[in-house]
Amino acid sequence: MINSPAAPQKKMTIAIIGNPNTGKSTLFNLLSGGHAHIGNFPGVTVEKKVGHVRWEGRELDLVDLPGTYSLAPRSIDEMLAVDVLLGRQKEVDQPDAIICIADASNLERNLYLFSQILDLTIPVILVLNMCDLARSRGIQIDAEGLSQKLNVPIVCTEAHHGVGISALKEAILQIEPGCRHQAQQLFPESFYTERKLLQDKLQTDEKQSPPDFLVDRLLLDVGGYVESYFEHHAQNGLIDHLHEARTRLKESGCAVPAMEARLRYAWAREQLNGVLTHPDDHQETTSDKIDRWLTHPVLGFLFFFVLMFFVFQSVFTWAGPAMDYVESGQGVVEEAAQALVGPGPLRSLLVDGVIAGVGGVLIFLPQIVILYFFIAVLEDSGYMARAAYIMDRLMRSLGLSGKSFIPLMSSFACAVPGIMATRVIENRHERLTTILVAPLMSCSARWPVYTLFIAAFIPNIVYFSIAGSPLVSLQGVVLFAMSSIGALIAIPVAWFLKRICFKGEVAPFVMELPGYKWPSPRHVFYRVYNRAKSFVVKAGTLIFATSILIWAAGYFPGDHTEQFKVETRLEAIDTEIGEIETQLASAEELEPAALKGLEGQQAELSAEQEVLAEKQNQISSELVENSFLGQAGHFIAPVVKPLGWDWKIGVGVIASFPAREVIISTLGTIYSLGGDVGEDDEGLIGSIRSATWPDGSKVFNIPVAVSIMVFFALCAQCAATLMVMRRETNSWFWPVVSFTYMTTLAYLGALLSYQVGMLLI
Amino acid sequence: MTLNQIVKGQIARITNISGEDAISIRLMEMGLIDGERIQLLGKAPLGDPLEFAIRGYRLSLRLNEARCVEVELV
Repeated sequence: MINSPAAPQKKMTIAIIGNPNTGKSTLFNLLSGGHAHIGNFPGVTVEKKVGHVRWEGRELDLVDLPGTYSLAPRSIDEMLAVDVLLGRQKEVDQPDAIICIADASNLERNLYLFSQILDLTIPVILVLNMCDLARSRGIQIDAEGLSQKLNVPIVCTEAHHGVGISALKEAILQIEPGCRHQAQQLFPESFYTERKLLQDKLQTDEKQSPPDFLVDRLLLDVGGYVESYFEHHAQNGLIDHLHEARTRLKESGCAVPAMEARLRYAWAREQLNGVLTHPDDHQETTSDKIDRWLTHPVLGFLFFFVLMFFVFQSVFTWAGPAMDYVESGQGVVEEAAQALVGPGPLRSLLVDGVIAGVGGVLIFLPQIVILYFFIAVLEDSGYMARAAYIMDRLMRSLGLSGKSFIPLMSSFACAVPGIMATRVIENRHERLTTILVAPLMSCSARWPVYTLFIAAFIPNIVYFSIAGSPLVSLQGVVLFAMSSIGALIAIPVAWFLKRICFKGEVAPFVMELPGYKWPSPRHVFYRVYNRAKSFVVKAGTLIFATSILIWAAGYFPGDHTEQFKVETRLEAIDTEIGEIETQLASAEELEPAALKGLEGQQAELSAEQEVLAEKQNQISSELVENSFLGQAGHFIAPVVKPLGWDWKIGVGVIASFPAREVIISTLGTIYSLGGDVGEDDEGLIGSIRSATWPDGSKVFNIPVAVSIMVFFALCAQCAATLMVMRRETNSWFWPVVSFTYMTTLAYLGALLSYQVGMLLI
Repeated sequence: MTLNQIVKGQIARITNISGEDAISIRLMEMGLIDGERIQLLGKAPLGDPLEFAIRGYRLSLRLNEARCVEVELV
């Protein structure tokens, strides 16, 4: 009995693997019910997705492995799948069975990976997914016949419509853990002789020879990951032996690496012979017909740009109201907290630390959700591969490939979803380069900074206008320049990273163009939901912590009693004025004398309120100046002096580490306005315009304003981006590199703009 | 001749893939094996990469990769 709940059985681990574009993640989501633990495998950039399920009293761990065309690892990331399958990855148990998902409309190529999986001798279930697509293309598969030939269970599914899932579950429950099948002997005898020799050689210096599969990979993968691993870890002579073995194989007529592909494809064709019938290979499919338009030299480009324009327009316009909701929600919570907790450190921690910190994270959520919705739709429909195909030539001039285009384009809205979108790039170096330059793209958080300083310092000169409406103005030109400077700098940075830091083989651009299909709403929902969830949970906690640290640095060690007294009195005045206003509203019932008295009271209160507000601003700015943050500002004052900045701007830059736009509220506080100012606040513009150095000269002029804008265009002042970078690269190294190089660039850029600017005026 | 030289719509037979580098290995894994038929379906708007039909699926290669594949017309 397999399903008897009375006899609890060992938990089973099932690995899910398949070529890209086979609907693997859709199937995984269906099997795991959408509940998966998402994390990273240690030391690699590969996402770890494990779903715990209980079917008929039986516990299973479903491990989703990254889509791959072959089990011949060339990088540490590709090695991960092999390690998991061989039970060499400590994070997950060795799989009791493997589910190999194949695209039924493209079975021959999918059987290549399957034949490598058979060599692992672990029980395997072959899933023929997208059977509907295969049928519509006139491909007929005798699944029963194929199952007999291959001697493995086969399940036909249509994951997009949820068809065949229960049959697959049943097949999984039929598996007996721990059973192994005989390895097939696909290669000529000479290969197995060499494998044995190599195993003996390995046994002498390692306690135990690695599994057959790894020895095969060592022998077969010229320049592969296993070879380079042994080059560093094995005793001298092993690599020489390996080269001799390959030479002997070549002399006996089975040269690696060509032998493997030739034999496995011949095997695949033989297996399909008689069980699969298909029409002429070179017949035009519906996808080809669509592609004639969508990859057309002119129309294809046009469609692509219109689509991109639409996507980013939607991200901005749709996210806008949602972001307003987040902000007003934050306001409501803030008021509630203020009502519950009186002025004091606890309120400050709640309002300025916790609520501001959480709000700072949630504000990104609408953009992430909307952008991810489009990315999921584009990917699932098959258009994403076309976008990479169309943009490849242009992106190559940056040393990147077409696959980097969407992530970089997304980063113009926000680098956080942009960096998340780099998952489509399989090549590690290319992906890292894209991740490192993504934060240079001018994201929407920089706009408040630009608009504030442009409004304050750039004269509104119109160069060209039509019917009275300005088309080209100096302010517009500066805004455009600030928005493009990052992208321009990204070109040499990407070039430098690709040519100097990530030197080595050029990543091949060998990309499948999958057939178009309607995106599955369920799959799109899962993708968006998982991304949003992992962002809020993982990045959120860290940004939250950072915000609290910055709050504490700005709060301590000052004595806030005076500030709280003023705050309490101000709130009392607010209530009193409110009461008087209610009484005044029902003015007809009042005696003229009483009315006059009330009005006099109101005027008095208003006057006191004004005085107190000013006092509060003064106290706040003094407190900030004497806080740790203010001390840090004074400390770095000599460093930022060459940029034309005073210590207050220095504080603003430090305080805006969690998010660039924080500079505005910080400047507002420091220039005695209280924290609540927006970028078009006349008062803030006025007070920064009139701010002076101790000697009476003006702090801000055009070069200083430009220097600040350039700094914010190039710096990495965004905790969310750095946290996501850590999550996606699974290491603190890359965020640190990114922060260092961007801050250096930002400093140099600001220095150059100020110094050159001062020469010009 | 090599795969980058065939014109749109033409069908060629692969005769050899030169080299043992990552590109050649990847091409072979994708099913570009000598004797196999391959057809050029089109080019990206800027003339590179190219789209091919092979073994019943659509594959995109850059001119650079296509150069590694020796073919003869059928």
